[in-house]
Amino acid sequence: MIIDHNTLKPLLLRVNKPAQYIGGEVNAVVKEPSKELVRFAFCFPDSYDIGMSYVGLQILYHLVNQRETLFCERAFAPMADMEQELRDAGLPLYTLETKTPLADMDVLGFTLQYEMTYTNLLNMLDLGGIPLRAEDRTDEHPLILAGGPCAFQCEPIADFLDIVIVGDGEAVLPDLLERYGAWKKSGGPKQAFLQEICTEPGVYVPSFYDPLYGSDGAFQGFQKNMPTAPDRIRKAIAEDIDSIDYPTNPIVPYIDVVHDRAVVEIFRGCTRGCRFCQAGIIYRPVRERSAGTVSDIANAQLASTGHDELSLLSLSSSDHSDFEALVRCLMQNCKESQISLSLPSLRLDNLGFSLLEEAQGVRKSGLTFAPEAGTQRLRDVINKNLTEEEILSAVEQAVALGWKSVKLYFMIGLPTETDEDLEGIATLAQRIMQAADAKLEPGRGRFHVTVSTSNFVPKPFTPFMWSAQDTVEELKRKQFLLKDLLRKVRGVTFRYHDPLMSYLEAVMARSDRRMGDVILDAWGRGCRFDAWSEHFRREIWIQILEEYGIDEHHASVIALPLDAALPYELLDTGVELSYLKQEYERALQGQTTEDCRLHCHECGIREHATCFAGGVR
Amino acid sequence: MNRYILRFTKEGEMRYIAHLDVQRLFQRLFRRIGVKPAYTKGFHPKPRMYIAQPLSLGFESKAEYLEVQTDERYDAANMLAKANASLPEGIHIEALVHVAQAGKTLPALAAYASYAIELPLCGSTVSPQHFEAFLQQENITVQRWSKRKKKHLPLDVKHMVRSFSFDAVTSDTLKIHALLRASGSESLNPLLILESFCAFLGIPYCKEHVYVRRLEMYGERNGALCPLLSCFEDDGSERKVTGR
Repeated sequence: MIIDHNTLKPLLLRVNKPAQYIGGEVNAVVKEPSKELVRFAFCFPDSYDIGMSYVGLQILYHLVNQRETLFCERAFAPMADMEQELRDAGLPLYTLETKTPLADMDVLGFTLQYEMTYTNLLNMLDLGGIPLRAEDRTDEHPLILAGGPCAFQCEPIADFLDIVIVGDGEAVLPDLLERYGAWKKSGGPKQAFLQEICTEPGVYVPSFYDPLYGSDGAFQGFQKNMPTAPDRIRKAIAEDIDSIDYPTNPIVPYIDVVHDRAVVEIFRGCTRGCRFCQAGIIYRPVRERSAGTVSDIANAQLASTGHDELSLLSLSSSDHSDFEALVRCLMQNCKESQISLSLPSLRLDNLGFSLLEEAQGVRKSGLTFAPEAGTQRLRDVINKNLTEEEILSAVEQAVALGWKSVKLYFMIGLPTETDEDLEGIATLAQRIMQAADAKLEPGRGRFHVTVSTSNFVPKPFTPFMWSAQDTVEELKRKQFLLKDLLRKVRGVTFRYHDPLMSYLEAVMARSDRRMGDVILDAWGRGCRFDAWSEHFRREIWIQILEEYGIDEHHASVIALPLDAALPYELLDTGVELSYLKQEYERALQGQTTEDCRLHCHECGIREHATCFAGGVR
Repeated sequence: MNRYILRFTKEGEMRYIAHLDVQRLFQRLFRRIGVKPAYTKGFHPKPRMYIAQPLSLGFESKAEYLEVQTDERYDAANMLAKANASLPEGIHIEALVHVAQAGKTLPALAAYASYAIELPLCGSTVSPQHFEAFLQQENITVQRWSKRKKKHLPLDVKHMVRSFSFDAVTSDTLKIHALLRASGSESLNPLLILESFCAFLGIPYCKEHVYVRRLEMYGERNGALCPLLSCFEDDGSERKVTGR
């Protein structure tokens, strides 16, 4: 089927922001379709303006399109009005570059960024006219891949996927697609390709493993049904990201997107060891791009896009071994060309402030601290190495440099948390206000503090993966408690998140394959864009949870014994479970673990990749 | 102070990008080709770049106008070539002139715009006489949406219509030529007058099947309308026009 402009025109004139459905952006790649070309659609299961802010898309789009025999296009979740138009007109979801219906592509690749996007994933398949369950698809249908952070815990949607890529997409995807091309020419069945590819690092074929459940309904483990498939799948690691090809001409969106700027990832991984953080584990080991490489990429990107903002990306930018030199060098160029430099994930110490001050110039972005917990005791439990003195001193510096507001990120529902810890949040907010007011010159207005709390979700592959999640009622109680406490502090705004959504996140994160039926049902009843508060169909989800008997006793939200069988045990992040258990024990004792740049704690990643192992700085 | 006036087209799928998107597009274009706009002073410096008149989302155009002011002097032919090489399909700069002297900016100069409009008739019959009758009304009333009051308000736009005439009927589609007010202080959207016309005749008006193309934009010079580009004194230096 060809979807031409005349067909789309009346639809596009009726929907909001039609430019998100047309493609044709500067630096978008269009290749002449031919039989030799492997047609791949990068499918982002959320809206265009969110998907185009995702750096991983630009990276993989670039890498795949660099290969002559591969052609990567994009597809995003259509907004409700466009979805309705497509369904009414009987039109399928199509790729932006060539308006090819998804069903006519060879391979679709979904990125799993957040559990609450799974209904969008199913919806995109459905809009593409593709059977949702892997077992219902034939060799005529495209191969369905998934990757991204949630790939490590994708069991809830494993029944809908053919292949899951765990680890660095750069190290797997382009080669996998080329192998696919070769297989396509050979004309064998899809099953043969799956068998061939499943032995590659980072490749998980869910259909080769049957989950086993006990008579009590508990998940018990997996049984391999394909003898040649690996017993466990280790994540793929792109060892040298300094030399790997990074996009120098990213696509420039027309419409306003969340992050509209040139972005350079300066390093991957993190050594801080915060115990709630999954990213810190699954992206190990730390791999840096050198200052020279970052600078070259940044300049090339700015020249090819015309962006007026540059951002450096990493989990904790101040930790880059050459950070100061890197930033000062970039700042020089940026100042000359009137380009603003954005430095997120910055540690707000003396260096941080000095750099921020120079980089921001007149335009000041917000200042954010993430204490995560209100008392030093709890901060030690979660291994968030930040003291009250550091925070207060940073606030004083901020005020002196002209900032008039600050945002504080906390989590509630953390393991071992008591009401005393919540009171600590309020006390901290109060002390910050006092410190700020003392420094603020009279007549310069009031200082403002935003306290933003999210709800703790125990994530797989973290030391807290065996922890329970607070019930919805308990989270609500805590939120009310905090609201009351913070109401008494003038100049503080309190933000908190829907506990029901956090509950669903935990359910989706830690469940086994049986959750697939639940997600399918939720989608079938109309759930879409679950991560958006304005589209979250609360009543439907509550109904579904009740019908399926998923409540506060569900295996995904209760405390798990350390020897429990886990639905994601097939996947190996390279960090030993014994290390995570050890960290969990230390957490319960309130013992901190120092930054592993300073001292190696033998997490296990060294067995699988080059890690500086305490040899940096 | 250097001023560069560009006339560009906005066609094909580019009709779906909105006015602010177009501004961003050109800001980025200039950065890519090394043209540095002058900036306003103050806390939030903005580039001195002005689009004559916003074009409604969904309309095509043969003549959109943009002005960019720069401190440096650039070679107009070079700027034109580099710009067109860096623009996506659907946007093309047809003419670019350099103006040395200061004066009213484009948005202040814009006065009228001409449009080609196509309306599917779905069997109805329309003739030139219908247009004459429509224009002979004492008032030509359109329903304008008020964002503030959240309802449609009637507005008499007769003074904003220079011409609104029958062009042809081909394949059950009515072709109209219109010359309507298009200035900073007031402008008439062709869809509004078309809707009023259809109501006047009692024929159906279906917005998504109407086609509108802006043909030219005009300023006023010596009491007469002239295409915007011609409103600038030829300063004798570079004037680059490219046909296509």
